[in-house]
Amino acid sequence: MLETTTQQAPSSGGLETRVPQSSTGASILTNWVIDRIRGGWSSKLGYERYRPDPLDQWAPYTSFGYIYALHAAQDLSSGARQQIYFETGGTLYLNYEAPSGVLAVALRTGRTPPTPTDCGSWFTETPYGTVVTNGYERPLLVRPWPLGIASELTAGVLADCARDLGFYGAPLRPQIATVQPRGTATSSSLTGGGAVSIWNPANGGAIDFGGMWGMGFAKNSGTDPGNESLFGWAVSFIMDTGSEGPRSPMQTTSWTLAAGAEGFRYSAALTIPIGPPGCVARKIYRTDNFSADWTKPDDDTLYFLDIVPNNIDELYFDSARGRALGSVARTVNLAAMPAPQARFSALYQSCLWLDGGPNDGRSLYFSSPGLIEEFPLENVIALSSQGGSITTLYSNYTALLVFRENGIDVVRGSNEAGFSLTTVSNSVTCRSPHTIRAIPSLGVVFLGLDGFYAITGGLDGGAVLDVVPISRNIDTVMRVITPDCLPRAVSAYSPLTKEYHCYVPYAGYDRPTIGFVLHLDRVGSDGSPWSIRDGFPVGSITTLYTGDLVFGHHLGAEAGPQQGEDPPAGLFVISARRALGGHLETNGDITKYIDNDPPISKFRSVWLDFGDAQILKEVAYTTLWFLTTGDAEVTIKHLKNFNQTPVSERTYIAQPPDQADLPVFDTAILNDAKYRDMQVVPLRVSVGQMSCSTYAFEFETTEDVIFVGWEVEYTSKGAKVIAGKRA
Amino acid sequence: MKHWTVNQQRSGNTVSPESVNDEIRTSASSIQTLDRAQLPQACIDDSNLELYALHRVWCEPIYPKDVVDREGEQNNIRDTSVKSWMFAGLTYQLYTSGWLALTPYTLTGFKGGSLFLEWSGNALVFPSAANQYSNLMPGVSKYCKVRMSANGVTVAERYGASHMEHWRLFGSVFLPPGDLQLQLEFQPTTIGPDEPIVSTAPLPILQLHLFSSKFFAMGRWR
Repeated sequence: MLETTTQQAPSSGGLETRVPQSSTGASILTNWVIDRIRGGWSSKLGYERYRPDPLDQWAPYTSFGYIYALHAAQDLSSGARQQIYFETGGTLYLNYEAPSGVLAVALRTGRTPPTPTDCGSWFTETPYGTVVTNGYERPLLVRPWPLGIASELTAGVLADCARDLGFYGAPLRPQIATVQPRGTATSSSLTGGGAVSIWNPANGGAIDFGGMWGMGFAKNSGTDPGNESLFGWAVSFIMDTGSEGPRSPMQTTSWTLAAGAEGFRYSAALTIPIGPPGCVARKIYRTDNFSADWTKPDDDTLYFLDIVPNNIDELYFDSARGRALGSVARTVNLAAMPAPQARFSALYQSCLWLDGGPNDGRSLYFSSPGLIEEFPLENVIALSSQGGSITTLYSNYTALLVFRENGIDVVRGSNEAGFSLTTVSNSVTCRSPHTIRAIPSLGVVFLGLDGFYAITGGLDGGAVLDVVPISRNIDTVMRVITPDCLPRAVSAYSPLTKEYHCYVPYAGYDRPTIGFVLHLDRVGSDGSPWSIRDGFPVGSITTLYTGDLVFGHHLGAEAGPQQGEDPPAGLFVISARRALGGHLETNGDITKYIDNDPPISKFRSVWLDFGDAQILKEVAYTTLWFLTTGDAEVTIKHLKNFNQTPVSERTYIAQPPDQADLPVFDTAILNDAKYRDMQVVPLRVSVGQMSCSTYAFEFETTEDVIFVGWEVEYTSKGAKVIAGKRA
Repeated sequence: MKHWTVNQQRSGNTVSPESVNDEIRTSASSIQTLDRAQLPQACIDDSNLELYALHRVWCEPIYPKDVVDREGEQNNIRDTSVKSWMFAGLTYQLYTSGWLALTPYTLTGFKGGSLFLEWSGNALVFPSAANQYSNLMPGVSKYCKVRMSANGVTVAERYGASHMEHWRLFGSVFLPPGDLQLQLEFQPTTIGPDEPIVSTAPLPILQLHLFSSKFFAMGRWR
């Protein structure tokens, strides 16, 4: 019997392209998932339409092209109300599923599509809805609830679902009708010309609650003109987020009493401005009498007067005495929306943070805490010129990460104590905003210029914040990413499969074409945690409440007709469906959706040198440990000495080699066959390989296999490779 | 919750338990956990809803009903010694102070959620009760204050009617599940030192009476 040496990899590792490779990794690992039960690599994956009914074809997404932005907002606990937003062709849509059927409801049209060097829209969840920014149009606040059935989705209803965030500016001054006091005659009527004469008895006994209403002097026992009553008003808007906007300039009016007039104070009639969409109330402020004839000359301090609890009323009557006024108006100077072209946003310490946009890339604005549309003038941080413009914002743990073109800064603190900015890296940067994800046990993962990084640790309690590379093993693959299209890379984390997916533009393409998958179950183990995902047309991707990953097609209708049928378009879900999507086929009068072939799952081992590449070895057997998934066929090929032409061996099936076959679908007889758990079995392949310095084996399949590990048996007589070639 | 393919079996795959269980489990989960926010339009109607599954209504078009021929009237204080053309209602002699409650009503089977209450009726607050001594002082208006509460939680309260008026009180509150004690209460404005309490007869003067009272309650929990 041949005496062999065995090298084992009980658990096959992930992708490693950098040499020298670890002994358990893979040179090629494409289209695999981790089997949840046994930890091996499973080929059971694919993707299917978001709407699975075969007769629906691509509806309602048939005409959509590249979906470059996608976001799932959780609006109600237990996932009962999940809003999916996506953007394509310059329109922001809501994937509305409440009526029977699914509708793509246009929330806002006329948005600027991103260029190949731009990222898609950025979404931030707030308690008041989703803030959507893209660096071109004004930030939006989207809250499409409540909505009715399809016929109720009128333009007016939809206009309420998405509105501009923040205030355009201070409101117009309120218009004050001239106050015309009564004369001394009991029936004098001196109104007209837009003036009002609204009198209030000054005597406490005149009416119920007498003496409590009216402004100004009640008596002129002198000559004409009497003492002046001078008041000013200002108005601000209150939005449905609770935020108050900047106050209008003050509008004043004054009047005097005729000689001998007494017994009445007067009310004012204000015409107050209507607020913008989202305004739910107007707040009115007023001064006390600040004429020179009263006790506070020139004191135009504004006090709270009243709230008009709607955005409808235009006429307001002010009858409040001075002592009925409320507290002094805030002295905080509120700005209109300071970042009308913000590209990114984040919620940190209850404040909404916005970058200044492409034209103001080194400014960071933040709102008052809990009030996402209130931006005091002084709430701005000017970043240093070193580091470049802001490339994205990300709130994590106790810090706000500010990624810049040439570094990473961190904002810490609170609104009460003040915020501070610290630089944590001058050498690592992220220009792919949609690749930033918080990954359990790793930290904040993102795609840098030269690979993936993780921000670990923290800045509190003695913790150390560090930026560590996590993809050194696959640097050679990183090099072929289309560098100028990095902003178009997209990612999502699935807690269901514990995978971080990142899809990037590759080999000159301007949109994501290939995916890198980080398998959390493999982090910390020997070997790389990475694999490649190929054939998945991801343009944008997000995570649903269930942990499923849904993506928007990266081409859609732009691909043009395929065999006379509409090409795939719209939303798809990465699942265990054994198909790479599907296509349409017309049979007679019926057009149906037909599954495509499954993805090709490919594995190639690392180049094994068995400890010393210069010693020649003869490989005798290669054994793959598989789970008995049934009659799935596996053809093993092998290579040597970095030669790329493989040699095929016989085809085997994933059944126990030394027992009766396990029952399989379509042949097992009901009531006769028994359910059997899958077992780990060796598929031992005799390898007819001559001597080699390095050895690798591979297989690829579209069948359902679960591959756990491998071992290679070899012999060696100790012969060495000949000397190198002379120049 | 909607799910997609969890385990697709193909011809030739091993007949293992998980090959069937995984897909069945998620499908069953999807059906079990459908709730109102996820159901398609008009898929639920009376035929597949248990009584009171979504909401429940309690309504008494005339309440209280504990005294025959005096349904809908307050029977807390009925002073029959007033002048013959007056309601036998509250008088200063018999009414001391504080809130008076109509017969409590139990809202059975409240499943927790939003409770809407509405109570309406007519009230007479005898106009002379507003007068002061010898009519030389300005009058002080008198009202019938009304309040409704459920299990002690005040739902709404208002100053109420004056003179002869119809009033309506309504409001909503969120309450936990369980039978609720509905309290409908009223209270006249208290008297001052110069106000009339007897006529020259001397007979007591009607102060307040409440009649044609009715209520409506609706609990909504889905």
